[in-house]
Amino acid sequence: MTETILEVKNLEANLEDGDKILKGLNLTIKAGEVHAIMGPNGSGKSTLSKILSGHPAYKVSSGSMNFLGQDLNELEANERANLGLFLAFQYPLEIAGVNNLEFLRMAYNSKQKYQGLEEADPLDFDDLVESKLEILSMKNDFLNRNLNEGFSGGEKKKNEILQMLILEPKLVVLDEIDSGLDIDALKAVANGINAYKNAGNAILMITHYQRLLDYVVPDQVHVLSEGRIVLSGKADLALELEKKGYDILNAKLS
Amino acid sequence: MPNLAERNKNEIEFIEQIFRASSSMLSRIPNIRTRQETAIKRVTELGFPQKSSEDWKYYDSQPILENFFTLDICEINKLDKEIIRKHRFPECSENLLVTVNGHFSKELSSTSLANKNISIIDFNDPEQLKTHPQEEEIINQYFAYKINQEKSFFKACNTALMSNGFLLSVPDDTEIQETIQILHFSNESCFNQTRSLIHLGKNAKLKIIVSYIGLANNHFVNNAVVELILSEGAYFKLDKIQDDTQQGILLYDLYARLMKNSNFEYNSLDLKANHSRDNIKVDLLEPGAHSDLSGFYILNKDRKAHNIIKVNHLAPNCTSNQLYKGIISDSARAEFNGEINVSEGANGTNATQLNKNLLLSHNAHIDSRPQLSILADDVKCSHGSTVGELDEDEIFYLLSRGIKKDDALAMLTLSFCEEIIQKVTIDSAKQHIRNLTLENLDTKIHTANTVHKLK
Ligand SMILES: Nc1ncnc2c1ncn2[C@@H]1O[C@H](COP(=O)(O)OP(=O)(O)O)[C@@H](O)[C@H]1O
Ligand SMILES: [Mg+2]
Repeated sequence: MTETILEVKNLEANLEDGDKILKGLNLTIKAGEVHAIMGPNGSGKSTLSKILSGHPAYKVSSGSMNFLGQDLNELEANERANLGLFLAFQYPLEIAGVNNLEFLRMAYNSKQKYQGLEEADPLDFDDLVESKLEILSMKNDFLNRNLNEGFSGGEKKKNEILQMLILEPKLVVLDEIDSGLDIDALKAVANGINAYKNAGNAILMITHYQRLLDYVVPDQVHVLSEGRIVLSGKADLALELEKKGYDILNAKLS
Repeated sequence: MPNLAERNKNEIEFIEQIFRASSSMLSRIPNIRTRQETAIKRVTELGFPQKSSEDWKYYDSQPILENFFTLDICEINKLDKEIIRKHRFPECSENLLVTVNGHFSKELSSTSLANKNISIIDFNDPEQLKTHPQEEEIINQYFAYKINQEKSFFKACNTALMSNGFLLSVPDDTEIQETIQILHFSNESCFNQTRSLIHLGKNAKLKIIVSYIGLANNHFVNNAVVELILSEGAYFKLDKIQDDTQQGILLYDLYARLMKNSNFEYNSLDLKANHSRDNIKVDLLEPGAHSDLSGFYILNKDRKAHNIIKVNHLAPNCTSNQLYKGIISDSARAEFNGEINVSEGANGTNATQLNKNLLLSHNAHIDSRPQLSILADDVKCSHGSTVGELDEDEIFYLLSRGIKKDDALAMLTLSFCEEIIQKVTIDSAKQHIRNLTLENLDTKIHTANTVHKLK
C-alpha cells in the first residue's frame, strides 16, 4: 500500500477572531501523487497552504490535519518544515540584510539538526547548491544577494524552487508558482519540480492555468470554492475549467 | 562665584566642585588656557540643564547629577596593553590612537602614526606647538569655538576640565588611505572629559573609527566633545561605536563645520551605555557641502538613549541626509529629536530625514520628533518617522524553512539594522557590532500577534 502523506479531514479554520475561511475541507494525498487545486480568487487556496504550514494568523476550529502520521496542529511552523513540509509562497518575502546562501545553509542545517544529523561541510554544501542552480538555469551570483531583495517576480519564484530542491521535503505546496513567469522561467521552474518529484514524495499545486500542468501532469484536480473542495476530477478537469471558466461549477454541482 | 541661590544643593555642590577642579586642569598652552577660563564662567552662568529647556525635556538629568557629584575628575591614564589588543580592529593595528579617562596616551598609541602625514597635538604640550605653527593657528581659530557664547553646560564643563585632549589635523591635498582607529577608554569611576579637534585641510581625505569603551564596574560619566572642521573639498568619514559598559553614562557632543563642497559621513552605533545623550550639530556653511548622518541605537532593560540632531543649511545648494534606526525592548526609552533648519538664502537645499523604530516590548518607548524649519526658496526636504514591530509574515517565512524562532527573530532584528552596519568602514568592526547587537537581544520580543521568549 502506498504511504499516505497528508490527510485533511473536515478542516474548518478562521482568522484570529475573524471570519471563517475554510469550511469543512477534505483532502488526501499519497506518496508519488501530484494534486492540483484551482478555484476563484479569494476562495481560500493560499489560506489552506498557510494553515498547513502553521501561520499564526489562522486558527483551526475543527477537523484534523495529519502529515506523515503526525498531527500538524501539535507542531510549530519550523517543526513542520523540518519534518518535510515545504510551502513555496505565492508572494515570497524580501528580507534585507540576510544573505541568500547563508539563509539556505541555515535552513539546511536546521533540518539536519532536527534529524540528528551533522551540519553540512560548507564546501560540500556549496557543491550541492551549485548542482541545484544548474537545474533551474540560475546564475551563481544569486547566492551573494540578499534573500529575495530586489529580485524580479520570476527570480523570487525560482528561488523558492531552489530552496525546495535543497531541503528535499516530503510534501511541497506550490502556491501559484507559475504566476508572473515568462516562458523560459516557467520551463526552468517545471524542470525543478520534475527533478524533485519521485515515488516517495508528493506535490500540491495551486494554480489558475493549464500551462504549468502541461509540464507537471496532475493525478487529481480539485476545485476550491468558498472554503470547501466542491469538485474533484482527473487532469482533463483543468482543461475544461480553462476553456469554460468557473461557470461550469454551477452546472456540475446542481 | 556667581549667585547660586536659586539652584538646588546638589547642583551647587557640583558646580563648586568643577570650579575647584578646573584650576588644576588648566592647559600650559596660553590660548587654550584662556578659553578654559571663559568656560568656567559659562559653567556657572548656564547651570545644570533644566527640564524646561526643549533639548532636555525628555531627559531626566537628576540621576546623572546624583552620580556626578560623587565623581572625581580623573587624572589616571594607565591601562594594560593587553586590553588594547582586545579592542583594536586588526585592520587598524598600525593606526591606533588611545586615550584613557580622557587623557591622550602617546605610549599606548601607534608609533607609526608619526610617519603618516597627520599631526597629532596634545592640548597640554606647548613644546610640540613650537614646531607646528600651522596647528597652533588651527587651535587658536577653532578650539572651543565661540566658548563665550556656549549654550551647552556639558560642553562648557568639558572645556573647563579637559587637559590632555588632542588636535588631529590632515594637511591640504592629503589623502590618508588607512582607517585610523581611536579608542577612548574609561577605566575609573570618574567624570571623564574626552576632547578632540579634527581638522581637514583643503581636499584632504580621512576615515576614522572611534570607540568609547567603558571598563569601570562602577558608575562613570564620559563627557565627550568633538569639534570638526572640513575645509573646501575635504572628505571625512566617522564611525562612532558606543561600547561602554552598562554602568556608563555617555554624553557626546559633536559639532561639525563644513566648508565649500566638503563631504561628511557620520555613522553612530549606540550599543551599550546605560544612558547616552548624543548632541550632533552640523553647520553647512558654504555652497555644495554635504552631510550624511546615520546610526542605530539598540536598547534593552531600562537603558536610555537620546539623539539630538541639528543640521543647519546656511548656504545655497547644500545637501544632507539623516537616517536613524532604533530597536527598543524591555522598558527602555529612546528619544530622536532631529532638526533640519534651512536659513534664509540657502536656496537649492536638498535635505532628507528619517527615523525608524522597532518596539519589541509593550513597555518600550520612543519619542520621535523629526522637525523642519524652512526660510528659503527652491528647497527639497522630506522627513518622517515610523514605529513598528517585527513583521509576522517575515518571521513566518523564516520559520517555514525550518529556522528556530529565536534565530528567526535575531536574523530579522539584525536585518533591520544591516543597512546601517553596512556603512561601517572596517569589516571586523561590522562583525563586532553584529555580535553586540545580538547580545542586546537576550530578552522578550513582542510582535503583532505574540510575545516570544528569546534564548
Ligand atoms: N490575513 C488575512 N487578513 C484578512 N483577510 C484574509 C487574510 N487571509 C485571508 N483572508 C481572506 O480570506 C479569503 C481567502 O483568501 P486567500 O486564501 O488568499 O484566497 P486565494 O488564495 O484563494 O485567492 C479572502 O477573502 C481573503 O481576503
Ligand atoms: Mg492565493
